[in-house]
Parts: sequence; C-alpha cells; structure tokens
Amino acid sequence: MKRYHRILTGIGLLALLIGCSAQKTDSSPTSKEAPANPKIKIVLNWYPEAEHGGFYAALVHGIYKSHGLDVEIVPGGKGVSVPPELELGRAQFGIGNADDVLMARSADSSMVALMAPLQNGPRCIMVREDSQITNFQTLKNVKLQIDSGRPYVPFLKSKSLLDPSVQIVPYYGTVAELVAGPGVAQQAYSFSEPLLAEQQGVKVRSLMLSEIGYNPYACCLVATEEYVQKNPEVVQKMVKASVEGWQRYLESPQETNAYILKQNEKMTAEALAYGVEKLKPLCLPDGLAADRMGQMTLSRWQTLRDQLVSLELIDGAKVVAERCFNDRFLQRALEVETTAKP
Amino acid sequence: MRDLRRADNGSSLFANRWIVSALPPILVFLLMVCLWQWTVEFWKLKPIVLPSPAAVWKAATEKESVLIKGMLATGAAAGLGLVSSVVIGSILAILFSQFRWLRLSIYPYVIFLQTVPIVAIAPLLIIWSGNNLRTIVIIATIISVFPIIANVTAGLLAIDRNWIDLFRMHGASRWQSLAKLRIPAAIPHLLVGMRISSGLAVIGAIIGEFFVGNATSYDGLGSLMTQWQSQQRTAHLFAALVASTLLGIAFFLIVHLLGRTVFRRWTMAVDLESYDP
Repeated sequence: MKRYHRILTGIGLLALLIGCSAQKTDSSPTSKEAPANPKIKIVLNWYPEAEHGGFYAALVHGIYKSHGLDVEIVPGGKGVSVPPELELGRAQFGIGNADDVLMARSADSSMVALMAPLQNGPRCIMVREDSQITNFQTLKNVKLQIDSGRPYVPFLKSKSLLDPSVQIVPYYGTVAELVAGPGVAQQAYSFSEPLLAEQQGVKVRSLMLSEIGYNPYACCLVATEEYVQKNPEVVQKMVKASVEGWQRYLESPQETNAYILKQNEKMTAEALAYGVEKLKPLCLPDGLAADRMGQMTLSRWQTLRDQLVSLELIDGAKVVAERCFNDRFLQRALEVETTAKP
Repeated sequence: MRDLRRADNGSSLFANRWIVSALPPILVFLLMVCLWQWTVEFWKLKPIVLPSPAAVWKAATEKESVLIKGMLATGAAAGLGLVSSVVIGSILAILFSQFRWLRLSIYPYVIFLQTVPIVAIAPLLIIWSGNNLRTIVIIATIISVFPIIANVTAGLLAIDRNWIDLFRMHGASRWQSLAKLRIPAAIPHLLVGMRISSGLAVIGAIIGEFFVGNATSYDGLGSLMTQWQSQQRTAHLFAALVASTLLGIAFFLIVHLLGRTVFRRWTMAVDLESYDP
C-alpha cells in the first residue's frame, strides 16, 4: 500500500506543478490588450488563391499601409481552422464563409462578418460534360467526391437531390480522378477547379449551389466581437482598406496575382487570371456597383441561419442572424445608407 | 465450514485484487478529467478551442446511437485488419524463422511497412482497390502488421539452446520442432504483438475512413470526425475521440482475454499485470 501512497503523492505533486506553471503564465487569450501600433494578422481559410485577391491587393498596393495598418496575411490550408485562431488571439482577422460564421457561433465563438466580397457563393458540383448529368435532378449513378461535413451536403439531401445511387466519398483536393475517367463528380469552386480540369483536356459543367437556394456570402472578413469592441478604429480602417483592395483587384489584378503566385507555388498565372474573371460576377452580381462592394443584408443572413437550423447543423437558440454580421464599419466605409440592418 | 471460509476468503481476495488493480487508473482518469475541467474554466476557453468534459459528455449522449454505430463500423474494419495482420504477420514470421536467407533478404523491407507514410499512399490504395471496406482493412493491416512480424519472429527464434538440443537428441524433424517447440514458445510474443497492434488497427481503420469514407451503411468514427471537424463541432469531435479510445481499449481487453483463455496454456508464465519486481 505504501507504494500506492507514493504514486498518488507523485500524481498530486504533478497536478500542483501544472497548476503553478499555469498560474505563472499571464498570457490568457481573453486578456488580449491591443498595443499602440499593432501588427495585424489575417488568417486565410485556404491556400492563397484568387478568392483572397482583394485582401492581397490591399497589401501589395500599400492600401493597408496608407490606412496606418501593418498587415500580414497568413495562408490557411487543410488543417487550419480560422475561429480558434481568432479566439486564441493568434490572428486578429480571418477569412470565412457565412456558413462557417454561423457554425462557429453555434459553437459559442463570437465571430462576426464585417464585409462579404463574394455576394454569391462560388461552391458548385463539377461534372464531366460528357456525362448525362446536366442539373441536380440528373445527378445520379456517380461517385461524388465531397467533404460530407459541409452544410450543403445535408442541404442537398434535404432537397432530395442526392439520389441513393450517388456514392459519397471524401474529397482530397484534386481533379485527378474526375479527369481520369467518367462516373466521377466532385465539389469545386466555380473560379478554380473547372479550369484545372479543362487544362487536362476534360470539359466540365458546374452545377451552382447558389442557383438552388444555398447561397452563403463567401470570403467574408471576420473577427471576434471582443476584438471589434476593443479596437473599433482598427476595424474601421481594416474594412475600408479591404473594400478598396477588392475594388482594385477586380480592376487590375496583375500585380496582386504575381504576388499570390509567390505565396502559393501550386497556383498558376493562368488559373489566377481565370479566377479573377470568374470572381467578377460573384462579387458584383446583377449590376451591383463597385462602390457597394462587400455589402450584407439581414435577410440573406436570416435565410442562411434558418436553413442551417432546419438542417440541425446549428443551435437556433444560440445563433441570431442580426449578431452574425456587423456592417456598421462597412456602411461608414462605403458612405452609403442601407436599410439592411435596423 | 473451512471450505466456505476459504471460498469467502477467495472472493474477498479477488475483490481486493480488483480494487488494487482498478483503483490507480480510475483515480488517474478522475484527476485528468478534473484537470481538463479546471483548464477550461481557468483559461475561460471557448468550446471551439477546447470543450469541457461536461460539454463532451452532453455531445456524446446526444449522438449516442450515431457513435455506437460508428464504433461498430470502425470496429469491424479494425477487427478485420487485426485478424489479417495476425494471419499475414504470423505466416511471414514462420517463414523468416525457417529460412535464414529469406529473413536476411526480406526482413529489412518489412521495416518499410512501419515507416510507410500511409497518408501519402492512401489515395493510391483507393485507386487500386476502390472506395470500399477492403481498402480500409488494407490500410489497417499495413499499419498494424509490423509489431506482429517483429514479435513473432523474435519469439520463434529466441529458443533456449538446451531445448533445441533436446529436440535434436530425440530425432525431432524441423517441422516437429517448429510445431511443438518454436510456435508454442512464440505465442506469448504473438500476444504482446497483438496488444500493440490492437490499438494500431483502430488507428488504421480511422485513417482509412478519413480517405475512403463510408464503407458500410453507417458512418465510421473516422467519417464522423471529419464531418464534425468540418462543422466546427469540437465537443462532438472529442466525443468521437473518446469513442475511438474506448474501441482501442475494447480491442486490448479482447486480446488480453484471449491470453487468459484460449492461449492460457502458453501464457501462464507471462503475466504483465501481476509482475512486480
């Protein structure tokens, strides 16, 4: 029994040690006071691509600098999750789609969207043109490479658009199998993967999710509520500079694309040039003027929130549409009055 | 009367022994849970960063049936992977023990199995074998076969010289020595290998599910983890992690039970729990 006493005493001491060392460190993520000239980090939700072009344009053309901001853009990737990066204070801003914001808030994150460069979601299901699939109703007898955790999968199921003959398999971020042979479809961004497939000699068709009612804002600039409350001036400058960056990127993307190429060697100049052309109608759809870049409306957030609640992906009691976005800074930046939010 | 007392003493001894062996891990578990809860509260961590044990418990009870089905799906793939490892590993080990030239020429390449970056070859395996249960079992086998080969080969070769001489003196053939001396002597080593491989098979099945997706009509734990991670449901993700740990423990206990029952004859001399220097 003596031995067990020794072991238990050892465990107790270890716990005490951990406790003491934890108390010594005074860098709680909740106590993130902003210094006078803060270095601002934006963490991306994916590897640098055309979808992040506007933020890179603001960096490349010195727009952030001209607003007094020292900005670093941190590339994302498969293993990078934006909400914890913001919650832990490792980055001040992030990029995320509207459905990501809703799911993060459902998990008690205070993430809010500040501007939405892509008004229409670029998410699509890409199929070969030589297949019989021309729309979602004919999506049958195919192996569908898709991230089954993404909300649009249950959305498609809820609309009875995923036939039992569709075999859902994981997506590994390549068009190789779709190109290799028929019988394969995959998730894609309309401004990226279709070109990759066509470059490898396969013509494809994009079935847009936005056209069947699933249309989250994409590539939103996000931050936590706490950060926004504590640093309203920084947020105001950040939103204004980002809007200008996006306007600049859609007008003349060459210099920015060259910079993105250096950040992401897997990209090609052709893919980025194609991407920016495809992004234009997503950023400024239906003749939306460039000076309304990034706008958000409550009704769009409400629709998406209701969709995700009905799909049981988020907790309706926790997620209130009005609190998912904050366009106060954007309105000031655009100097336009909007009735979107009361 | 004396018999009754002896039986009574026997059962209380068993109870005491159980308490002595079960108490330390239970205490460590409770301590870890308390430490975890304290960490979450002290740092005021949000669930998206680290959910509290209470939140994980709530998520687990909410998704109880989904998790049980996931454990069954992953357990089936891991079980098949472990059985394949035992069969393939034992056959290879027997061949290595019998043919020195084979051991010298192939064993170095077997080490490759331990170092193979499975994440890199999984997409290739899918191209060769398809999105099905077979591919998950292949991945689980590749990850879990090495400890079996290494341990069983060592067991088959580490025979006391005196025993070998005795068998020779009695004119035993090579196959008689194998069947009656080497294989029985290697069984405790096989069980040690299986204890290591049981956990690896579960890990292999989960990694397989990350790549292959659902091979059965249920979501395996690997698929559930991918989905919940994507949906930022960290508490649910932790619940799936706990389920995979329980599955690993269940596999370990099954192997332990095999050692205590089916292989008891050969494992009486090797008792990890009661060994105390």
